[in-house]
Order: sequence, then C-alpha cells, then structure tokens
Amino acid sequence: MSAVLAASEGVVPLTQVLTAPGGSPVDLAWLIPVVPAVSAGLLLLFGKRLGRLAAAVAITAMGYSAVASTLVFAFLGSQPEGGRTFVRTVGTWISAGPLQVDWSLLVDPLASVMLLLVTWVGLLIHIYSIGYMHGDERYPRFFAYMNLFAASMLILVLGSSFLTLFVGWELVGLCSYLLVGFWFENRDYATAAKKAFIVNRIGDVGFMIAMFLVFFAFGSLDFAQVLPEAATVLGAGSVTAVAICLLLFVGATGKSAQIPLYVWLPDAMAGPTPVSALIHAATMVTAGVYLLARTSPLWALVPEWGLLVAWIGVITALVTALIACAQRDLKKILAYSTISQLGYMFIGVGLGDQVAGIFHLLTHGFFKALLFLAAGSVMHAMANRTDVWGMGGLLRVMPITAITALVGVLAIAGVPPLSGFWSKEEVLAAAADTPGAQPIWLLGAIVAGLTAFYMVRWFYLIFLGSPRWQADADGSVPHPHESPLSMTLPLVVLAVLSVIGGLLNINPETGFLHGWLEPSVLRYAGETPFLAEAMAIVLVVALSVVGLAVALLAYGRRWTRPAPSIGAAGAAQRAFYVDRFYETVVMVPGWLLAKGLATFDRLGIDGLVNGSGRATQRLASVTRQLQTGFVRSYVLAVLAGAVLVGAMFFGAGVGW
Amino acid sequence: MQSVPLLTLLIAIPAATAVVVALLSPTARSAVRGVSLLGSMITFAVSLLVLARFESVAGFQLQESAAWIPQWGISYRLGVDGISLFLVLLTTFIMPLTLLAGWEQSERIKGYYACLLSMEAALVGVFLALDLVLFYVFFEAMLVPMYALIGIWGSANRRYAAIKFFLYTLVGGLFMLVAILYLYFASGAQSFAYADLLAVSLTSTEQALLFVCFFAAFAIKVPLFPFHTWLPDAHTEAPTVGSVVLAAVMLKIGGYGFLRYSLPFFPEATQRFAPVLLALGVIGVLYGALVAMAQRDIKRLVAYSSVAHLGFVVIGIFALDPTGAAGSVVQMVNHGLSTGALFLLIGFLYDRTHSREIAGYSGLLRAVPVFGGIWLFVVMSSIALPGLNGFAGEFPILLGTFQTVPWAAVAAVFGVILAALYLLWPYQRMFHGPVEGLAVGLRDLRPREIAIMVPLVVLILAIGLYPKPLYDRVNPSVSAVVADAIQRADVAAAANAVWEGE
Repeated sequence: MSAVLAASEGVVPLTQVLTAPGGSPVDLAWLIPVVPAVSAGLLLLFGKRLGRLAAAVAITAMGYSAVASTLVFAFLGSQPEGGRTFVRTVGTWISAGPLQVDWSLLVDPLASVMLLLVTWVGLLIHIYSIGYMHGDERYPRFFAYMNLFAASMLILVLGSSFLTLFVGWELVGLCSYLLVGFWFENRDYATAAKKAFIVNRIGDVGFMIAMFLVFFAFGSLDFAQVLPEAATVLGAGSVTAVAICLLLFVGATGKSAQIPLYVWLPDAMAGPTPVSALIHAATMVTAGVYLLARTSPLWALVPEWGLLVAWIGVITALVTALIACAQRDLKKILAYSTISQLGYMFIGVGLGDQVAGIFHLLTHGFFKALLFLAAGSVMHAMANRTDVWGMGGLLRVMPITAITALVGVLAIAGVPPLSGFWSKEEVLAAAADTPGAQPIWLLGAIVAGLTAFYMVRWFYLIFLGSPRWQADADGSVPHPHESPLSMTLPLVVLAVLSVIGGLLNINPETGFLHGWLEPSVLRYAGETPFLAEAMAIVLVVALSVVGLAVALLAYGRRWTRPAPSIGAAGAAQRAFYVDRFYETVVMVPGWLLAKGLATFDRLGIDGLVNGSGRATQRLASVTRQLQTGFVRSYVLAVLAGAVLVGAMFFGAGVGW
Repeated sequence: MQSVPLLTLLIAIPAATAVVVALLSPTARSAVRGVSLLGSMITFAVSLLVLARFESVAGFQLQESAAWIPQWGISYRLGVDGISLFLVLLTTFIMPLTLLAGWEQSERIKGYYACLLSMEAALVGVFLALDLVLFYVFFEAMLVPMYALIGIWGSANRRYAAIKFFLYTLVGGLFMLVAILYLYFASGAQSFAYADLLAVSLTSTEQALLFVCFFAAFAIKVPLFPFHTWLPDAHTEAPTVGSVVLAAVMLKIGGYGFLRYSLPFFPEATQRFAPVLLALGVIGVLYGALVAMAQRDIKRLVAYSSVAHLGFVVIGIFALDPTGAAGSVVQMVNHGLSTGALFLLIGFLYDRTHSREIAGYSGLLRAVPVFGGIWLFVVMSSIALPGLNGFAGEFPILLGTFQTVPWAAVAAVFGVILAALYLLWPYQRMFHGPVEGLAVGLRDLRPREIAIMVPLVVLILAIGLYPKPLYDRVNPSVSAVVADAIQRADVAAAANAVWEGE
C-alpha cells in the first residue's frame, strides 16, 4: 500500500470563510434544524391533543426546512465560485478552559447538497407516513420523532466543528433508538433498537478519541481552524494524521454500517418502514460518508490509508451483497443492499474521489428511499407480511408501486441511463484510476452483478410470477390493494428522481456536482486508468446485465421454491454467523465479566470491609470483656486507629 | 460593601427552620411541611442573590469572618468561589424538591424534615467554610441527620447500611482531622484559617502523608474504588429523600475537597499521586459500570452508576488540566441533577409498588408514559447525550484529560459505551415489552410529582444547550487552582533537584 497516490489538487477547503449578510438564507440557516426540532418538542408535549393534525404540523416544519434549504442552495449558487463557504455563529456552547466550542453552522456547497437530500427526501417520507401510519395509536409521537430525526441530521450536516457535527451524530443515534423501537411492546424490536444505539456508541468512541487528538494537535475543533491547517500542523503521512483519520473512520463504520460494525442495520428495520427509508436514505447511514468527505484535507495527508477505507468498503459491499442474495425478508434484503451500496460510497471517499462518493450517496438516497417506501406499500397491502416467498404477482393489483419499484431496482442495478448507473460508474472509475486499487475495481464490478441479481430477485418474487400467499394461522388472507395517494405520490416523485438523478454529474470531470463540490473537498484520487474507460463501463454494465438475466431466468423458470438452508446458501441466509460470533466473543464474556465483578464486589471488597468490622468487634469484646454495642466498638477501633496514625505523624514530624 | 451576610443566611435559614420545625406540634403536619418548604425556598432565593452578586473571577468572594474560639485560632470564615458556587446552588435547588418528594411521609414527620433541613445547613456549610475546623465541624455534622434518615426511615436492612455509612465517613473524617491538626501545629500561625494553612510550607514526606489523610476522607465520599461499598447499601436502604441528597450533593464533597484542599495544600504530593488517583478513577469508571450492569435492584444499579460517573470527575481533577478540571466541577452539578432525578423517579415508582426489582417490571412506557418519558430523558442525560447536561461536563473532562494524560482519557472513554449498556438494559427490561407484572394498573405521575421533575428536566436541557454561564464562573477559579498546583509542584521539584545536587 505504499504506492504514492496522486498529489492532492486544488485549493484546501475552508481556507476562505465568509460571514453571510444579515437576513440572507445563509444567515437564517440555523432555523433549518431548529424549526423541525421545535416542532418535535411541541408534538411530544401536545401531540395527543392534536391527533391527526400532528402530521400537518410535522410536515409544515419539514416543508419549511426544505424550502429554506433550497433557498440556501440558490443563494450559494448566486455567489461567485470562490465565495460559497460561510460560517454562521449562533452563540457559545462550551467554554471549558481553553476548549471553546460554538453553536455554529458551516454552510458550503457540500452541506447544501446534503441539506437538499435530507429535507426533500425527508419531506416525502413524512408525507408518505400520513397514510402508512394511519391508525397507529402513537401517531403524533411518530411524527415528533421523525421531525427530531430530520433535525438531528440537519445539525450533523450543518455543524461547523467536529463537536457540533458530533451533536447531530449522537442525536441521530438517539432518534434511531426511539424509532427502531417505536413498537416497543415487541421485545425483539426493543432489542434491535438497543443494538443500534450500542453499536453506534462503539464507533462513537473512535470519533471522540479522534476529537481529543485533533484538539491536542490544533487547539481547536472548528473545521475552519483545523482543515486548512492540516498540512502544516500535521504534515503528510504523520502518525497523528493517520490516527485521527482511522479513528474517524471507526466512527464512520458505526454510523454508516461498515465492517465490523454493520450488524445493527439489518436489525434496525424493526422500526416502521418510513423510518427505514429515513435511516437508509436521507439520514444516519450517510453520516459516515459525509464525515470522511468533510475531513478530506486530513485524508489527503495519508492517502494510502484511504486505500484501506476503500478496501473495507468493497469487502463490506461484497459480503453483504452475498447475504442479500439469500434473504427472504423484503426489508432485510434492502437493508443488506444499503450496507453494500454504502461500501461503494466508501470506495469513492476512501480513494479521494469524494465527489463520486457523495454522488452515489445522493442517487442512493433517491432510489433507496423509493425502494423502502415501495416495500412499505407492499407490506401495507399484504397485512404486514415480509417474506418475499409468500408474495408474487402483485404487479397487477398495485401497478404504481410495482412500476416505481422497478425504476428503483433498475437504478440500483446500474442500468443506464438511470441515476445509479452514473454514480456507480464514477465510484468504480475512481478505483480503476488509482494505482493499487484495481482489485477493488474488480470486486466492485462483481458486486454490481450481484446487486442486479438480488434486486431483480427481490422484484420478481414480490411482483411477478403467480401469487404464493397463504392464509395465516387464524385463517385470514391478505387482500392486496394499491396504496393511497399520500403513499404513491412520494413513490412517483422519488422514481422520477431515481431516473434523472444522474444529471447531477453525467461527466466526472465537467459535471455539475464536480464543480459544485470543489470548494468543499480536497480531491486526491489517482488519474491513471488501467483500462480504457469505455471498456470498464461496458464490463460493469455487462456484469449487471448478466446478474439481471440470471435472476430473471432462475426465478422465472427453475427456482420456484426457497433454497434449502444448507451449504453456502444456508450460511448466507444466516448472514455468515457474524451476529453469533459477536455474541460468543463479546457479549457473553462481557456479561460474565460483569457478573464476576459484581460477585467480587460483594464477597471480595465488601467481604473484607465487613470482615474487618467483625474482627474489630470481636477484639473489642475480648479485650474489654464488655458487651459493647455494634456502633461503639467500631467507633472505638476507628478512634484508636486515628490516634495511632496521628501519633505517627506527630512523632515523625518532630523527627524531621 | 456588603451589608447582609448572605452566606451566613444560607446556613442559618435552613438551620433555623429545622429548629422551628422541631418545636412545632407533631400533629401539625401541614405546618411542618409548609414551614420546611418555605425555609428551603427562601434559602434557594438567597442563593440566587449570591449568584447574582458573584463575579466571574478567581478567588473567594462575599467573604465573612468572625472570631469563634480565638484562643485556639478557630474562626468563623465563609467565602464562595467558582468551585463552590454551583455546588451551593445545587444544594439549595435540590432541597425544596427533596422536601416535596417527602410530602407523603407519615412517620415522625417532624424529625424527618428537621433532619433534611439541618443536613442542608451542614452541606452548605461544608462548601462555604474557609476555616478548617469549621469545615470539619460541618463535615461531621451532616453525618448525624443522614445516619438518622437511613437508620430510622430506611427500608429493611437499614441498620446495617446506616452504620456502615456512618463509620466509613467517620473514619475518613478522623484521618482528615489529624491532618488538619498537624497543619495547624506546623504553621505556627495559631490559626485554622484556610489562607493561613495554605501558606504552610511542608516537606515532600509531610505532603505525602497529609495528602493521604485528606485523601482518606474525600475518596470515601466520592466514593472512589475500592472505598465505595458503603454507597450501594446506603442508597438501597435510604428513603428516597436520603438517596437524593446523598447522590446529588453529599458525594460531591469528595470532588470538592480534592479541588479545595488536596491540590492547593499539597501540590507536590498531588503531582506525585496523580497517577494513582487517575488509575482509581479509571477503574471506578469501568468497574462501576460493569458491576452496575449485573445488578438486579434498580436503586443499586444507579448507585453503582454514581461510582462510574464520579470516577470521571476524579479523573478530570487529577489530570491537572484546566479544561478537565472545569468539566469536573460542572459534571458534579450535572451528576447531582441527573442522578438526583433518577432517584426521585425510583422513589415515585417504589411508593407505588414497593419493589426495586428490575425483573418485576415490564411495559412501563406503555403503562405510565409520562413517567417513562421523563425517565428516558434523564437516562439520556446520564449517558451523556450531546445537548443534555451530562455531555457538557463529560466531554470537557475527557478532552482535557487527554491533553495531559492520554491513557486515562482513552481508557475512560470506554465508560461511555458501558454507560449506554447499563442504563439502556434496565430501561428496555422495565419499560419496553408488554404491560406485565407490577406495571399493570399503575398510576402515572401525579401533578406534585411532575412539578418536582419539571425544574430538573428544564435544567438538564438548559445546561446541555448553554453551559456557558456555569463555565464562565467556574473557569477562573479552577484554572487558578490547577495552574497554581502545577507551578508550585514544579518549583518544589526544582528546589529538590537543587538540594540533591548540592
């Protein structure tokens, strides 16, 4: 990995930070997270009285943020190219000794596209929830949490320092806890919620230590202080730079569900489906990718360690794509596919082509939100059933859902000219262009084929073929139907975005996103393709088409029943036993340690204390032949001891 | 110019109220409660005046002094600085809430309220005293009402717990008394005044021994591993109000004592023993958390969580970094609010079901949603969620500690994961799942109980979002203490080097 990657190009981000004029959209950007946060608070306090109106309040709040984000984006666009980076300080937060952290926002091109994704996709998911959550007894609370989730992500995106970003980072963790465990009466769901929170916290430890190091090296946690100084303060290849970057990446593997901390995400689909859409598309899992893109000047110092990030990304992508091929739960397939697609994003940011990573983040936000909402629509129709083998033929009864879902499938499968094709090709191009990363390209191409396979499998088993559902134990049979407009409308909008999303950056060198993000990220990707670009593209598309065709043929003709749980298929169905492994290696020993220490505390330490107490008592009763009370004997012994020690002190004091 | 002795009032009002309450007729229940509450509210109001008059600079303010036993050099001296200010406010703030929480107490109500009020007087006295005998008197005086609270109004195993608590603290206190006396004789100034004893010059050996004596008193109070086993028993057996005062305020005397006495009096020994204290703090953080995880009694669990939380505080102090130490002071306040709130909530639950067994509950969030919501809020504060108060103290502690002693910060930061584990596990066990067992037919919080929790919830959020007012007042004093300790230790080390060189 010692291959020296191409030297970083361009101006270091945040070298020039401006203050926005009063009253401008950027000046008012602090309201973008605050409005949904306040709405969440109001809904939590008064939601019960509002009833169904709660949705209106929540959607209005999200709508405000979406419009305000758009205005921010437009405002940045109206500024000259070198002057699109603003810091807006709202007030002091923590000022402990030399540590000074403000509540302040960093509004720049990178933040602005994230804002658009979070608010608009978030808004669509909010609208979808009107229909999906209809009739839920905790309807207002659901919208409160959704608002809070969006607000947290907006804080994360807008935070102008490591620590303010970390606030959002932790709050999305809280919101996922609240929403994954929304139906907490079910103990499994509650467990999934706790797992999400704890696994994320493990990653957070890495993030926190990274911040300690940053402060140690820079005396500040502000991006505008740290990032432009990174090269001079740390120097290329320095140990501190490596440590900071890798620790940040540990945090990223937690939030963005990469090996080894991805295990929480498949379980997190225990929450209501709109929550999954929010977690997988607009909020939360994109945070790690965003963090790495945001800190690109640090990574540019240690590009060979970025290669490690890319490797972890591609291995994660491969492993979880294989698992996805064998799952039966329609949401779990999508969950593993998210992890796999996140792996692609890490290839992009890891190899220093942050634009490719963010591009894929955006297009994935469109089609993954679409796919999850389509899955929700299916569950809505199928009385909350989730086994794809118990579906089939739904195309006829719910055409809008089916066709929009198909768009999502083709987009994620990388079929040109849909959005996923463009962004995936860019990510893979980064791998192909970087010396030493060619194996990553190859594996990534294989993952593209697998993706096409398992997504078509997903689609086929749900929507095509003949119906396979049977009656429940209580004899009820689902009567599938198309979902209401509040649910289909977001599907249609997201389908359109999934088709045209590629326009954001059709050409990696001259595309819109490339130019737009330039002030925010420091690119260090390689530029030496090892095979002709056209050829690489053709190969990847060919692999995708093969995956697609195989799935169609296989599930259309041969595989009409689930694969038996043996051999490789069985292992993949059980997600390669990773959860079992963690349980045996971490959880059980940890629990035994806790139990053991508790016993030690009771018998060892406290035993010693009580033992000495009893000994004193016995001594007192022997020496004085008196039936002294419990207290008095103790006190006597204690006094005697104190006098003794005192005497020692005074004696010694005279001597000195 | 200061016409009204505010600090004296802070001690005198609760003390006088305690006397008045004791003189009332035992049957006048509402009079007892009303007078007590009024007294504690006035005390709180006075403490707000102190806050208003306080200036964000180092050194003691609003000082008062009078001769007390002049022939022995004992004086009555009070003063407040950035280290004690918010601990005093915490005490005066938590006390009316505690009194309200004990509203339904039916047995021996006079003694009950008199105990609480006299304890308030003693606690405030401990934080304000600037004469070491005065300090010692308050330090020991608060033992008696707490002993009574646990021993008389506690639950089944109260006698054992009360005696254990009493002896532990007494032993520590006696070591400290010996050290105070030694300082007095060593000074030759015929004075127990803080400033006079601060000026005593000590040899390295003297510093070491005296440090250990003070350490005995404060380590037990914190409580620091392995001197902590009195705490779970005291907490479990104490009535709710006892647990609240114990956790919220009394434990803080440990951290306060380290900053007020150990660092300034024995800078050289502080630097010498800092690694030991840091190690004990780290062990406390991790060990307390792990042991908490294995508890079946929710009150015991929270008690062990205090061991973990206050481990952080000790780390922040002995890292000898201004950020870490300021974080420690703020964190003492935060721990008081969060853990105080948790014990209050446990008390509300216990009042209804008379059970602290975690396994006995299921589905509380559905059964009693207001209670459940507030519980989760407080739990999030306790596991240091950014935006709530716990983070505003814990993060500076860890970041500051890392600057001087990286290993301690790195080791302690794993406590962050464990905290989430040991608090979310019982939350899930008790609050999630179907409504079963003791949760069936449970009544949600009453207005009085909500009224007790609201101020706590508001402060938890307010300090989380805007801790600046605290830090502004804490920073100068703490920075001065830390800088002074480091500087004097360095001077001493240089002198020793010269000495050895000759």
